[in-house]
Amino acid sequence: MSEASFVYDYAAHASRVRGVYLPVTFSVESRATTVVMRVDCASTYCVLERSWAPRFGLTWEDGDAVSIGTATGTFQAYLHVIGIQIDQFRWEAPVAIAEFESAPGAVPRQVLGLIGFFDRFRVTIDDPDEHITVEARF
Amino acid sequence: MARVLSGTAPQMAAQGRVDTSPASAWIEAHYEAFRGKWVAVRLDPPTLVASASTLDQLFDAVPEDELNTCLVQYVYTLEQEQAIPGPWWQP
Repeated sequence: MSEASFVYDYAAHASRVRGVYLPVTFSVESRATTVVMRVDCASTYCVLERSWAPRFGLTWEDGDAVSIGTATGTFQAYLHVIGIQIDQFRWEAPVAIAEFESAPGAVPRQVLGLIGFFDRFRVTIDDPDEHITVEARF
Repeated sequence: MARVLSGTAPQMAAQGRVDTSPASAWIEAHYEAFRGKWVAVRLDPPTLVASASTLDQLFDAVPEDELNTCLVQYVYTLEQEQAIPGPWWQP
């Protein structure tokens, strides 16, 4: 594997709830937070819950409005350009900050989607071995 | 229709890589104690900084600078682990 790739073993996360996961650091200026995200190629945008807007000093409704469709309806979100880092790779991308915050004890609805993640890398998911490989094309 | 916000292409990070392995191992070792909670665990050395029922509460509980060096993760409940995930977005 080239130096411009990162392999992550998501087995520990998937043993809890089936899925593909990656630790991601989001940042705006001097504020950064690392969080474990689900990878979801069915989502057009990367999506974060609304709590992230004040965390990053952003005014939620100052972003670009988008209405995001799901299997069960739509939700409102605003796109903000946010710094993203996975392992050694750092870039900026529009991220949809959703109108909702999950209720206490509810599974978070935050994903890495097509725009901002899949369109930046060659992504290979080896699900039998529970590895995801992220390869940058400089 | 939103205008297109393009962002940038990936570059090698000036600050180097973020190693979440120790914090992830800490969460796995203490998983039972925090089911249904959000936790913030310092990346290095891995120690619990705060836990809360919601992400909002977690962000309120952790000083802004300290959050920069934490791994934030939701800890699934037993019921959530036993449910079979379907289409991800639910109302």
